[in-house]
Parts: sequence; structure tokens; C-alpha cells
Amino acid sequence: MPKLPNDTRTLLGVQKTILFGNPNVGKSVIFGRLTNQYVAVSNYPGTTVTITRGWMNQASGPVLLLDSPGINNLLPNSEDEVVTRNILLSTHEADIVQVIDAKNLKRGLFLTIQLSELGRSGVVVLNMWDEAQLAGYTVDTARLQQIFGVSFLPAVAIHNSGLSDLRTKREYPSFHYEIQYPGLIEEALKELAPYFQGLGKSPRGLGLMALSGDSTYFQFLHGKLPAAILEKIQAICKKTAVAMNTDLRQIIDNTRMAEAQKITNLVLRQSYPKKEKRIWSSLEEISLHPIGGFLLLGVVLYFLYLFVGIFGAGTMVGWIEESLFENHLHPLLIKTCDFLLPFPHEHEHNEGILTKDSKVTATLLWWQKIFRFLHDFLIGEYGLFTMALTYGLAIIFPVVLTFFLAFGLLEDLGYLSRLSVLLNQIFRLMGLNGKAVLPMILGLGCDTMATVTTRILDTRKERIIVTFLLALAVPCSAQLAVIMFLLEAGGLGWKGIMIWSGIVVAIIFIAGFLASLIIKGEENPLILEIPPFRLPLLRNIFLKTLARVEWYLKEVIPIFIIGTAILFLLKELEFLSVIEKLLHPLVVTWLGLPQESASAFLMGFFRRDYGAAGFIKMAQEGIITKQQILVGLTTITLFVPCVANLLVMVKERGWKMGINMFVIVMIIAFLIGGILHRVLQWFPIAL
Amino acid sequence: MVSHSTINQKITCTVCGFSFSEGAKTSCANCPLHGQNCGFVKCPNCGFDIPVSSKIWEWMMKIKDKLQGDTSHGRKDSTH
Repeated sequence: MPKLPNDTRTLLGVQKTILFGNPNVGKSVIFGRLTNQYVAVSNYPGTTVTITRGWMNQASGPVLLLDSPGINNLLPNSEDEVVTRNILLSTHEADIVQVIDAKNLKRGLFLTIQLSELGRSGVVVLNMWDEAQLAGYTVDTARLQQIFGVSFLPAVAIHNSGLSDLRTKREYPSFHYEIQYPGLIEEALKELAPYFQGLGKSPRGLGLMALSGDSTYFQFLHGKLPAAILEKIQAICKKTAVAMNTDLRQIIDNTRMAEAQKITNLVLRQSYPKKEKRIWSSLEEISLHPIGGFLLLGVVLYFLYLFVGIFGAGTMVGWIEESLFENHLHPLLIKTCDFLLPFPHEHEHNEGILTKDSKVTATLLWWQKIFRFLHDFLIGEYGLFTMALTYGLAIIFPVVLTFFLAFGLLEDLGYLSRLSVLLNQIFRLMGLNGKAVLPMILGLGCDTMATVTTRILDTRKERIIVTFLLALAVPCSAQLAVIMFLLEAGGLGWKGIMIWSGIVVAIIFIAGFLASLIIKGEENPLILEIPPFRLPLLRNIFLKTLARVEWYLKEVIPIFIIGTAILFLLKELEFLSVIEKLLHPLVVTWLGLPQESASAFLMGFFRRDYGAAGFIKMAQEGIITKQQILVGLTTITLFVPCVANLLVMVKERGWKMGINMFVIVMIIAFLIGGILHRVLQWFPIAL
Repeated sequence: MVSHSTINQKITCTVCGFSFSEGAKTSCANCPLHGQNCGFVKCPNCGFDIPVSSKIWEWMMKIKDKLQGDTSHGRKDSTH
């Protein structure tokens, strides 16, 4: 068989078949079943969308099989849909194998109608037939064949069942179903038809794409049709839209969906099997209920607090930081360093235990100065072991570890998708559309990775606003864990946490509301498949937790080390006190915090949780009040999450935009912190 | 060229329920953080970072296999 080139458009005269269908209907499994051992995976030219191609043996010879990205509409909403639409329009002669999830017939028929309007030939595979039967569905395939003029083959792709016809058949009939649109659209289609002659099998389907007003379609037509013809087409579309005084795309979509529903009603029957009483069934219903869902969320958060806040931040940090690090590891490291790097100095003792605090007791010779430098770099106030690794491994790690375990449990339970649906209701209140909600929810895991996820959003405005909101006010997993810690060890109590969360939620709402005023255009619905609740597998939870722990160790600890090294050098060069003096008006006067907080804010520039750990340390040492912890924590929460996030913001949005966002976020953070300090002064709240 | 064993390693996103092939739909090339060397796969539908492998886990499994006298283990684990 010929080797596959990267761009299969160059393979002239080769028979082609396109696998086509909604996301998650089993196209890739069918592709695997039909093609030979090796396949080619490459990006569709000019995009980041990957296309998989392979050879399929048929009686008539080898056929090139192309697995197109899963889509929900040929009038595109996303890059994937643009790519699939372009693949279809660029290969008029290729047959189509449409794969439909037999349980979601209407969604598939919505696409079948569009294939009919494009006059394509092919066959439809009703995949997951076994699951549909288990759910009590019966589909009248003969009636469907009568309606569309093509075969509808029941199949169970994962068991390689029902696919034999695809391997033997070659001559496929055309889809031949036509629906009637409102009169003005029908008139416009007649007017448009002559311009699309020769461009595809059916001018009607191409005309409907034009009438939908999709700009990517006109980009596709550019170069294929003369500019004068394109102008005429656009004029007809505009005239029709003005005459109907409404969004033509919406009318087209609604008409097709209504037709898909009508056909589904004709061919689909469901005999409800006796519903098994599952352990989770009531919980599943409650979790999506508008009120019950939030009550359940409250219960989940309470247990999360017990596990992460009480056990992780209280018990585990007590074991690791106090018992292991401060009582055993630090004294051992201090003695080792003092032995290897001798110079005249004395360490202070706390309840008989050696501490990192030390003072030089004599004038140092040049080599003793080098030893003192290395000694302080390793175990001094800003030491690699006594600060970076202690903060990273003894204070934050136990909290993050318990959070990751709890997160893995919720993930494996199937709760995260329900949480997305639940929070979507809130985000919709402030005007953010469905798709924009996902990166915000994913930001609760890692804001940096979620910033990369903003690529799934359709408009530049949406991407900018969600990136900004992520940087401003969505706390990441590490920070959520630290908040749990402060709730427990810092003694802020529920009142303090309510003030903190109230401010963060208010900021997200205000910023989101302002964003919704700026964002124009249609809503992009959030399409999720909600899996049933299932008993979590211990193996999965451990695997997920370990993967996240590795991410934490690889990404977070190095930032702590670099940040500590920079602080250490600033102190050695006596710049730290200069910076503290420069920050005095902001930190002491404006925020009402002790001078030492300047170091915590400097640490916060590297990572918010690193800065928050500085506040934890100050709380443990008793040099900061609860009100001050609340002000400091709120200010740090509104910082840009971490250096990595800043770099990703710059990479994704460009230097100018990235730096502008950083500056605006920092201004808002200090502004809100200062206002909170004053409010707490005017209305003292006992925390 | 990618073998089917990689293409067909199906992963189901725990947030949106989307199933995809790890080998065919990876977005590592676009990730500014980790490149190819991390234990996460980004869901092409919703963008959730799904943990699929862990070096510590693989190391633990190797030890377990050695203890059991089975050296066949060593493939990348995936969650379903």
C-alpha cells in the first residue's frame, strides 16, 4: 500500500472515505477496526487539530480512511468543526461513514440531515447498539433507511460487531432527505443555487452554509469563487437576513433540530426496563438539583475541610513540620553544616532544640566569610533547607497531598462533571457563557494549565477575559489547600473564611459581569456527558494523586527554591531591607501589616501559596493578628498565581497584554487589601 | 506513524465524559509547561488535565512485579 503523505489532498484518484460524527460516538474505535496496523496522525494544515488517516482494504482496492474530528454541527462553533466542515467540502467524491451513538439518535440525525442537504453518499453506523438496547431503546432502522435512502447499520464497535458491511460494500447511495425552510430562505436558496454549481454535489447545502453567515465559510470560499460572485452571494444573504429581521443561522439550526426530533419520534421507542435501585441514584439526582446540588456541595466542602484542613493542615503538618523538621531534621542539618562549614557563630535554642537563628561571634576571615555565606544559603533565615524545602515539603506538601487525595476521590466518583454543571448555573447568572466556565473550574486545579485551556474559547475577547479572571481571583489547588491550613492553624474561623470567600466571589462576579457587558455574540452551550456515580477505585485515586504530587514536586518546589535563593541574595546584598523600606507605605501604611510581611509579598510574586506560607509562618510565630492574616491572605489571593502563570499569560496573550494584565491584577490586589484593612478598622470583627 | 496500540488507548475525561485516544489527540506540542514529559493528558473537549501516568507509580509497579517474579509489566497506565 502507498505510504501516506502528510497532506492527503495530494492523493489524486484514490478512493476516500470519511468517518464523520459527533464527539465520543466511537469513530476512533471503528477507524482502528477498519484500517491496517499503522496510521498517520498529523495536524490539519494551518490548525492544531489532529487528523488520523489509514488504509482500509476493500474488494475494489485500498481506500483511504480519514477520521474527522467529532462535531455537533456543520455550521461551526469551534476549530474542530471548521476543520471537519472544510474536509467535507474539499472531498466531494468521498463517501461518508457517519457514526451515531444509538442512545443519542437526535444529536446524530441533526448531522445526517446536513449530510443529506450536501447530497453526500454513504452509510450510517448506529454504534453502541448494545447500550441502547440495555437502556430499553429500539430503533426502526428500516424506516430510517426509507427516510434517508441510505443503510443504517446497528453495530457494537468495541466488540467488532456489525462492521462487516463496511469492509465489503463500496457503492454507497446518496442521502436524500430534504426539509422545507421558511419561504424567504427557500427563495434565497433558489437565487444562490447558480453560484454554487460545480462547487459541490448540492448547491442547496452550500447555500444554507452561506445563509448562516459563518465567516469561516466565506474564508473557505475565498479563492474557490471569483470575488464578484462572492459579493453577490453575500448580498443575497444580507438581503435575506434583513428581510427576515432575525438570525438566519438560528432559524436554520432550529428547523433542522425540529426535523431531527420529528424523525426521532417516528423511529425511536423506549420500553423502560425495571429501574435498578442503585446505591447512588438518589445522590445523582440531588447532585444536579438547583438547591439540593448546592446543599450537597456544602456537605462535600465540609468533609473536604475535615480531611484537608483538620487532618492535612493540622495533624500532618504537626507531624512533619514540628516533629520531623524542627525537632529532628533541622538540628541535624545545622550540626552537619556547622561541622562542614566552621566559622565562629552561635545558634539560638528553643526549648532546648537548635534553631536556624544564629549570630556571628567574632570577626570572620575571608574563607570563614565564604563558609558563613554557604551556611546561611543552606540553613539560614532564607536557607534552601530551612525555608524553601521546609515551606514546600513540611508546610504546603501535606496539605496539598490531602487535597489531591480528596480531589482524586471526587474525580473518580464522577462528581467533577456535576460540579461543572452546578457552577455553570452560577456563571450564567453573571453572563459568562457555558464554554467560558470550564477554564474557570479547571483553574481550581491549576490556573496556569487552565490559562492554556482558554484556547477552547471561540473569541479573542472571551480568551482575554477568562485569562484575566483566572489570574485575578480563581484560587488554585495549592492555594485552596493553604486556605484550609489558615482556617485551621491560623485560627481565622468560619467568619474569616466567609469574608475571604465573599470578597473572592464578589470580585469574580463583578469582573464577570463587566466582562459580559463587553462580550457580544451568541452563547456557546456547555456540552458535557454526565457519567453515573461509581464507587471510586483506590488504585485510580492513588495513581492520580501520585501524578499530581509529581507535578507539584517538579513544578512548585523549584519555584520555591529559586524564590528563596533570590530572597537570600537580596538579603546578602542588603537590598531586602531597601525593598522592605520601599514597600513600607504599601505594606505597613496602606495594608496595616507588619514590616516582615514585605518578604511574604515578595515570595507571593513567585507563587501565591509560597507567599501565603510566609503568613502561616508569621502566624505560628505570633507576630501577626488574625485581622492582619485576613488582609494579607486576601491580597495574596488576588495576586497573579505564580511566575509560570505570568509566563503563560505572556505566551498566550502576548507581551503587552500579559504585562498589562499583571499590572492591573496587582493594583486590584493591593487596592482590595487596603480597603479590607480599613473596613476591618471601622467595623472590627472578632475572628 | 503511530501504532494502533497507542491510538486505541482510550481515555475518558472525568469532567466532560469525552472519550479520546491518548496517542491521537495529545496536545503536548501546544503546552508551554511540560512538553512530552508529564503525567497528564489534556482533554480535547473541555481542556481538563487528566492524570494518566506517574513515574512513582510505575516504579512501585516494577518493584511489585519483581517481587512477584513477573517482569512483563512496564506499560504506561491509563485511567478509564
